[in-house]
Order: sequence, then C-alpha cells, then structure tokens
Amino acid sequence: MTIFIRHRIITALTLLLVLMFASIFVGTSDISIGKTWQTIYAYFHTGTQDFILWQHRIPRIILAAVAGAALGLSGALVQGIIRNPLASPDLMGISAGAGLCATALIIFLPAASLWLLAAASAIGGILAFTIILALAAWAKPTPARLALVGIAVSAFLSSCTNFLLVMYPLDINVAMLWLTGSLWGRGWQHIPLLLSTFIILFFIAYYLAWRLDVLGLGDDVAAHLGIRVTPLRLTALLIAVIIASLAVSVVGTISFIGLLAPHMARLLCGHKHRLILPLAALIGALVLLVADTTARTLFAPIELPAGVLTAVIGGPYFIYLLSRYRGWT
Amino acid sequence: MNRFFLICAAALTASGFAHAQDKAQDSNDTAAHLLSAEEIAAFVPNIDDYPADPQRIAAMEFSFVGGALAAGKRPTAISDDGNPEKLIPEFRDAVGEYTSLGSRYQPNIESIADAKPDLIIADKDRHTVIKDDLEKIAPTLFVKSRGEDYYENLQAAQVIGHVLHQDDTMSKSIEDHLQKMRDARDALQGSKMADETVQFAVITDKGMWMHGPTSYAGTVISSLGLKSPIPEQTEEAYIPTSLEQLLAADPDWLLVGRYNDHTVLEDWKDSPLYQNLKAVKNDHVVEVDSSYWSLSRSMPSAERMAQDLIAHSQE
Repeated sequence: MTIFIRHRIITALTLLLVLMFASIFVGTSDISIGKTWQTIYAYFHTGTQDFILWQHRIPRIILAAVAGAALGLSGALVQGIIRNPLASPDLMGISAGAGLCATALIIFLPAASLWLLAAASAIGGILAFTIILALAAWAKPTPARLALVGIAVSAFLSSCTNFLLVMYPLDINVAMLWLTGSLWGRGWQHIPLLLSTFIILFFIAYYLAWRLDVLGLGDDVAAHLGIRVTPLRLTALLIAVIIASLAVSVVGTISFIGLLAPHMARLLCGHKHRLILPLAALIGALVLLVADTTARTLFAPIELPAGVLTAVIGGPYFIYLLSRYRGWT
Repeated sequence: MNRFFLICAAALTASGFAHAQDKAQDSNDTAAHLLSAEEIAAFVPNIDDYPADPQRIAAMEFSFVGGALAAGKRPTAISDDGNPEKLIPEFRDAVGEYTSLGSRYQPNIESIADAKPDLIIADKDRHTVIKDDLEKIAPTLFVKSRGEDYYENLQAAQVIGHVLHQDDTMSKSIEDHLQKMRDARDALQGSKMADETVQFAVITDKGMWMHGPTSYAGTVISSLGLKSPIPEQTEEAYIPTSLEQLLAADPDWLLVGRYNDHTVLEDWKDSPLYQNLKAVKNDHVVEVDSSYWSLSRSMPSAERMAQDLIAHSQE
C-alpha cells in the first residue's frame, strides 16, 4: 500500500516534469517543435540563448512551479496545524496581508529590492495571520466560521490595498499583480530567493512531518507522547506564513491553490504528512503551471493574469467544500 | 456654487498661481511649451544606442503610433488591446498591416520578440517593470504616455522624432498641427463657447470620469482658449465623478465619450438632479468619439477634438 502511495508522489513529480517540459513548446510565438529542440540543443552546445525560450518561457515555467509548490506546502501546513479543512494561506489572510505590505512598500519605496519586498511581505503575512489566530482564540469558531472570519479579514486587507492603489495610482500592472496574481513580467531574477527558501523550509517541514501526524491525534495525546505542542505549532505555522508570503511577493495574491492542493493531496494519500507535504507541493506546482501556461496562450496575444484562472477553478471547489462542511463543530 | 467657481477661476487666473492656470495662460502660444533642440538631446543622452534608420518599430501605446507617424515612420507592431478598432481611422489607414502585441497593460513579451523590432517605444509609467526584457529584444525608448497632457504629448512626439532621426519631419508636422490649432482657436474665440465652460468626461457602465484641467482632453480644451468648470481640480487627471459632483461642476457643455452601450448616464437621465444641469437644460450634452478624446493622444486627435468643438459651438 505504502509503495503504491509513494508511487503517487513519483507519478505527480513525473507529471509535473513532463508538463514543465511540454510548456516550453507552448506559447504565443509559433515556434515549431523542431525549432524548439534546435534552440535547446544550441544552448547546450554553443551557449546561444534564444530570447523567447530562455528569457521568457523557461523562467516563467520554473517560477510557476516553485510558487505553486510554495502555496501548496503552505496550505498543507496550515490545514494540518489548525485542523481545519477550510484553512489556507489565502483564506487565512496571509496572502492579503503580504499583498498589502508589498503594495505599501512599492508605493513608499519604489526602489526597494526583491529581498526587502520579500521581507515586507512576510511581515504582512505574519501580522494578518496573527490577527486571525487571535480572533479564533477568542471566538473559537467552527471550521466554516473560521474560514468566514479569514475571508472577512482578507477582504478588509484587500480593500486597504485597493484604497492604497486608488490614493496612489500605481501602474495598472502592479495593481493587477497584488489583487489578482500574475506571472507577467517575472523572470530569472525572482527565482533564486523563492527557490532556495522553499527548499530549506520544505526540508524543515518534512522533518516535522511525523510530529504533525501525532498532533492530529489531539494536543493531549501528542503532549503525552513527548511532543512539545506549542513550539511545533509555531514553527510549522511560521514556515507556512513565510513561504506563502514569499510566493505572494513574487506572483501576487494567487487564490485557491493553497486550499485546493492540500485537499487533493489528502484525497490521494490520507493523513500522513510525510506524503501530504510533498504531494500538496507538487499539486500546487501543477495547478499554477497549467493556469499560467493557459493564461499566456489561451487568448494570445492577450494575456490573462494566472490568478483569474485559479479563481475560476478554485471558487466553485471552495463553495462545494463549504456546503460539505456546513454544521461542522 | 458656480459663481463661486468662476470667482475662484478668476482669482487663480489673475494670480497665475495654479500650474494648470499657468498653462492655460501660456496657451496663447502652445509653441512655448515645446522643447528646445538642446532639451530634446538632453532627454536622449544615449542617442547612439538607437538605430539610425529603424524599419520595424514596436509602439506600446496609441500615442506612440501618433508620434511615429508624425515622424513619417509606420510602426509594424502595436499594443492595441487585441482590438484594431481601438486605433483611430487616421492611424489604421496610415499604418496598414501590423502585428498586435496584446494589451497595453500586459503586452505579450513573446509577441514583441516575435515582431523582431529594431526599436521599441514604451510607456515610462507602465512598461518600466519589463525594462530588462524589452532591452534584450531591441533598443527601447521610454517616454511618458499614460496620464500625459497635451503639451507633454507634443514633447514626447519631439523626443520620438529625435530618436527616429526625423527631427525635421517632426518639426514640420508639429508646425502644421500648431497652425491648425491656432485657426481652430481663433474660430472658437469668435463663438459663444468662448464665454462658456466645457467639460469632457468618459462614461462606462461603472461610472463617469471627468477629465480634469491637467488631463490630455482638459489641456487641449484650455489650449483652445476655452474654460474648465473645475479649474482648481488639478490633483488628478481623471476624476471619478458622481452625479452630485457633476452637478457641482455644472459645465455649460458636457462632452461624453462612451465606453459601453449602457452607462451611468442612462441611469442618471431619470433623476431630477440630472435635469437641473445647465448642459442638460440647454441641450449641450454631446457624445463625442472616445477613441479621439481619450484613447489616442496625438496631433490628429487634438485636431479632431478642435473640429468637434467648433462644430458644436456653431449650433
């Protein structure tokens, strides 16, 4: 059985790599498959870089996969810790908080570096999440209610972002980025920070995986089994918030991936975090990759923001979940 | 209220305080706003980076299409929001076949690379975020387009003419244009409209935006010696406007550019407030073509706007 489940991870990874590779051949520009091969071959043999492939498609494909994986991992951690199937970085205000701080930084410090932007996003994410956790600690809501609290706080933070954008009219692209989520105009320079952070945090999370399983049995049981519950919670949540905020600082507030990916992972492989974490990351990567590839080719030469497509898929799924968990206590 | 505005306007004009009023005052002579040869050269210190005779120009905004055409060059690729209808007929006829680069907000980078331009003209405001990509494709000139006023548009045209190495052609185009505008101004000064206030606004299904004294339409109107009902509103170019705000401005002439079939104007028409507008009472609410009045900031558009105003001033 375990071998079979492990195969699912291998299947997902293979599928992701195949799709990433296939996406190289898809785009507005009509480059034949033979020509694409030639340019890839030429790069490895002579180092010549074809602009469209090497400066546009390939970095965007890698970025979609990494950002999607970051959101999927974040969602899996948040759901595991809060033990609420409706929790996710975008429903818990993390994305909106990160987006608000990023927008404020861009307005008041236009020359801010990517590092600073990432740091501001992380602070915003942490603040927003803290507000929601505090509200939850005070009101002890049911899962569906907590999701609603999260949506309300997110909506409030998004409207603050909107207000900033109205008061200080920025470029429409920037507005689109923070309110919808888009990979337009993103490239190689955005990858190293996000990728390296993701790899480090993924391994830390993976190291904590079995403890998260035990935590699923209840706080008391976990404590009796020698797990320090509060530090574990805080560490896992911090990882979730930081990685989601970093993704948001690069690709904006892309919705629903953090909700959808861990859910599908749970459907596919039950409750072992050792499997859920990598699978949720892989599914997140797959979803954003497909969304962005579709966004940049569907109505070519017009590009859609990738966040529009994830919302089209994720919105109905979220409503279905809400209806399923009605009356959960 | 209106009298208050007029007094304000008179005071501002008299003191020459407000920037927009300054422009309106100087507007007897639009030529005074043009850049000198030295200023143009200073704007493009790296002129040698651009090709001497570009053949494949990518224009990332409609105003740049106007700039290139005025310099006697036809752009081969244009960000037209995927809709050729958005180009004014003057541009469409002059440009002929071209490649669409997608939307002006998020131009398609692959299309731009595919078009193999030897020069890209991009909006300083909107496209700086993809500066690196653009410069890898071709030498790129960044000039202001979004939110520019009439004078800035002429200055941008001068810079574009310089980068295209067509300074003389551009000077001649601008000279011809200024002559047409002077004639239009004289015609308007002899009409009743000279003593009235004129306001252009865009109407969509989401709302109305008045184009204020600092906008392109606003500065074209003031350069023709006509008055704005809201001369003090120089904060933003495009002012989101409720029916109450429209009533406060209460222009003698309301020119509207329609973006949708059904707009807020249709919703307002049943309101008694709307019926109180001077422009409504005098039947001075006029629909004009928004592709000239707001989308394509360019010399042909300004000339068309002047002709529209003259036509209505003689009603």
